Amino acid sequence: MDTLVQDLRYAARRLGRAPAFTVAAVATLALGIGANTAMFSVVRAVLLRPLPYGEPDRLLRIRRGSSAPDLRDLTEQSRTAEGFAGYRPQFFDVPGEPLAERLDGALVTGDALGLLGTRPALGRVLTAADDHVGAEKVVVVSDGFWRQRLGADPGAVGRTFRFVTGTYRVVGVLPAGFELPEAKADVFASQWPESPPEAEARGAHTLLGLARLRPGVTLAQAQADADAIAQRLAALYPVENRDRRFLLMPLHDFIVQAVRPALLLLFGAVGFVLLIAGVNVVNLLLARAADRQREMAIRASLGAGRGRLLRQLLVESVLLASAGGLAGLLVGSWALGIIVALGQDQIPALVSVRLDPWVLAFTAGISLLTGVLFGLAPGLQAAGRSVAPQLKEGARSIDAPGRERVRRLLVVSEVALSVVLLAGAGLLLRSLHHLQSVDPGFQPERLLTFNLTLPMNPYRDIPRRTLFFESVLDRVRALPGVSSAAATSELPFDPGKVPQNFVIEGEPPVEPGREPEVMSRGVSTAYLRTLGIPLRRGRGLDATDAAGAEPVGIVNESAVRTLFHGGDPLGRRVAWARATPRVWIRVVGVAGDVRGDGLDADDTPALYTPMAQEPRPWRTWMNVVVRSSVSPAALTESIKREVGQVDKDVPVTHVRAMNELLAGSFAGRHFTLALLGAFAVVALALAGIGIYGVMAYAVSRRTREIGLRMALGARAHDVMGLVLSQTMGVALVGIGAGLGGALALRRIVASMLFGVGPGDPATLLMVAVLLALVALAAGYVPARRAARVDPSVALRAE
Amino acid sequence: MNATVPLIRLEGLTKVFYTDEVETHALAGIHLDIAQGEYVAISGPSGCGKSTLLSILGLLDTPTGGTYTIAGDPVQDLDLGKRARIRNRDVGFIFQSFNLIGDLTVFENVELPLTYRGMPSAERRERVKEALERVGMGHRAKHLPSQLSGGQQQRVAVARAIVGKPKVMLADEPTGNLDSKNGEAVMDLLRELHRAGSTIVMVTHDPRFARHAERTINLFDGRIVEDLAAAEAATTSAGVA
Repeated sequence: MDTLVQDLRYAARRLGRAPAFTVAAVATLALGIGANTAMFSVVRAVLLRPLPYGEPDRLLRIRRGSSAPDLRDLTEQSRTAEGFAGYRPQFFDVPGEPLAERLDGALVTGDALGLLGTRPALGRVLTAADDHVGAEKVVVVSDGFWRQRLGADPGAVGRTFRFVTGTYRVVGVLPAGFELPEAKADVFASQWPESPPEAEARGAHTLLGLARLRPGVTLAQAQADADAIAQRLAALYPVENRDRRFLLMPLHDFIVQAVRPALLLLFGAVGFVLLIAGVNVVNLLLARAADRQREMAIRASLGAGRGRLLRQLLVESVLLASAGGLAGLLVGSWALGIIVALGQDQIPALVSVRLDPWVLAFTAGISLLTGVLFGLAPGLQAAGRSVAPQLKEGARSIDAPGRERVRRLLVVSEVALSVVLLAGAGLLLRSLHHLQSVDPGFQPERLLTFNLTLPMNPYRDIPRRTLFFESVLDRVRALPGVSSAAATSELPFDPGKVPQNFVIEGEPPVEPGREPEVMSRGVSTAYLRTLGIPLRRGRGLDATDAAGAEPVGIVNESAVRTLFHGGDPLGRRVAWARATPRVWIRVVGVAGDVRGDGLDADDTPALYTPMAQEPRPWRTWMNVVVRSSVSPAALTESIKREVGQVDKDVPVTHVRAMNELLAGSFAGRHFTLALLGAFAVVALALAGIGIYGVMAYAVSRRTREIGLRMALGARAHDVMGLVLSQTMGVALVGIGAGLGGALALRRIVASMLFGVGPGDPATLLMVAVLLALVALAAGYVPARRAARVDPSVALRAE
Repeated sequence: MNATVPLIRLEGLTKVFYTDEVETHALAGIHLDIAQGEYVAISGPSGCGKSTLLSILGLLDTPTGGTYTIAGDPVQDLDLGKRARIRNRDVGFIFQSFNLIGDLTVFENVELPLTYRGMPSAERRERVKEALERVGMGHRAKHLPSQLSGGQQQRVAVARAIVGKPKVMLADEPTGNLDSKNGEAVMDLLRELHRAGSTIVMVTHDPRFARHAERTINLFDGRIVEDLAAAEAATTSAGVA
């Protein structure tokens, strides 16, 4: 221990006496370790941290939407699950001036909160007893709601609270920090008292279904059990449940499945960055070890064994890596702030990312590993050299050709790793470029959107709803700067749209449940014009398409291709397959396709029907789209005022520019690209520094040789050419290896690309050229230095 | 130790260096006994094998052939660890270029062999203090080598060589980098150590310093060509002169 402390003290002193080396090595390691710290924090928070529910390993998610009757049957019949339940987001509006305030909430079925293992902070959670016909309207509220709306009253349980939709009794308060798996909510109510038709409709697959396995049951057993139940339900309810499987998946896997590939890709990328940083440090240590051959020989002559010498050097490299780790924590903390700011919209779990003890342990671990791993090679080299020659008077530290080869090989490897990272970033960049040049099918510029959701009471009546929306649209259109305004039940790029089954008059009958799926949108008459969606054939919707008139609709080109097999749809009739009695809708026009599910998604068949002819009682919301020349901020206030004039109990929510929605559809790609791009730039810079370091060192070691060459007649440009050709030789081998690596790893990024192949030659060529230019720049300074060697001085110095 | 067994015995010792296709016979069958307490000078022209012989004696290098025993124990085939252990405990080195470690203080340089021996800190401190006092460098313990003159650095190197109380001290041209005054001072120091019982083997090409030894061995082309007692050496040297 005493000698270890001595080694540490000596190592610290040596590092302190070589500030340039120490700063360079610590900064390089800090970049690598910091990037890893930041990404590990993200990976831990999003992929590794258990869900904050009781025994989360036993929680499952049903992949597709579920209906309440199906969930009840599953609970009754399952032998492998303790229970099934579901929930869906539901707004709760609080009356206010000038407009009602909207709160996030959720409708839950049965014992959903209990199934998650939630224990209330006060009162009780909702149970199956709250979820039946005629049950009292009760709510459970979040800790935030309890503090802000109920004054943190310990006696809040039993109090009533008035929402726009009615008065509810508070029966429980949830603990601080509780969140549903995929929805933010402050108010929780049972489904049946709140939405009876939905609770009874087996075809309303609107719920996010959950299950809790019995202890010891495997996923496969649970799936087999659910499949058997699904078969029984399909036989009993062929219309709603034909071909419907309850595909189960661990809840945690379900939540992270969308982001897992990108996060693992980025975690791999920072691993590359650390390797590149480590290679640079190894090269620095190797150069330093060459300068310390004499010291090592002296120590050996005094009786230090090889292990003891190695320990001395490892202590130094570990100390260096520890300093790099500490600095890396700062870099990581800073990088984490940027990552969270960039990605919290796409990955909500990022909000809770912290540098917790696990992250600190990870950083300490990789610092130690880095120190040992990257200190080992230089240490073994330094400790393994023959002693006697180094102790002689005038002995020069000799850089064996093997050692020079090792250094160059290391540079080759870091260039190769950089090429792989740059190729990945380049491919993502080109994908994003392709994506941004895709025509969305409408004009998203200068469009503002907002949501209006009406309470059932007093808007149970469809004409009354239509009247409300028409009134709002008239008032908005009259606002200064507004050129057009329209309403739609579903906005392009808004997630969560569910297609519906349609039948086509005159087509051969299709088995129930297997009818073609169409995205149905209830729209106001000016919708196509407001969005700039072209009308290809027929007519648009107009005021004559009112309630009571013949139901009409406009299909898109995709529907013409897939539903009408390219034939003329005008005059033909379609109907919702589940509607009873069946309502036939006559196709009066064909509109252009809109990439409504995202620019990278295929066009899907769509049907636009007039808002006034909306037959579905549960569709109580509309999204208003406003094209204007006024700034969104100024317009928003005016819109809220106008809506308040129509009904102050209807809040204006989700105010967004259409371009925001459009950008949101590829925000995930943007996030991945931004981070991978940043890591690739760091890698490129480190590779450049690495090339510079090795070439500069090689030149310093070869001063005598260069002086001799010049004494024999070599000119400055001959010497520059010599150094640059060696630089480019190293770089080109690295580039070649990197391109091979990029091609070998192309499958990893393939699923994230759009409009470009994973082996895209143009991208790989650009990356190769970029690396070559960086190598040339990095080699230029040492080459110039070599060209300026004074032969008389160089030869005399030796 | 058995009185009849020499401290160092070399029998038929050879050393061949191989570089590419060239074999260089640095030592070509050395037979040599050095008794406990002897002060031996090894002389000869440049390239005769003096330093190679000293390196082998100090277990810094291994012979190609022959046997080498220290106090009767063969050491020519020992592994790296055992050789390091013997260097640490039984051998003290003094080099021409001092070979002090620039980043360590005088105290730490002298302490180094004891540290490698695993000696407790308090005992190390005492031993280092004693060694530095012995060479007259106690007042410079906290200085760095770069703050000392060449003569002072060599005194520190001597202190480092004696601090571990080795069986033999090997000095490779210990005055080579010193002026005559400092050179004489170092030779006086070695003589004192010899009088106190130390065994010293010194490589030197300078007859003036070789005279300080009680026995001089002359090498030529890797062979011992003369092995003279002090008086004989003086006569030979005078005759040559």
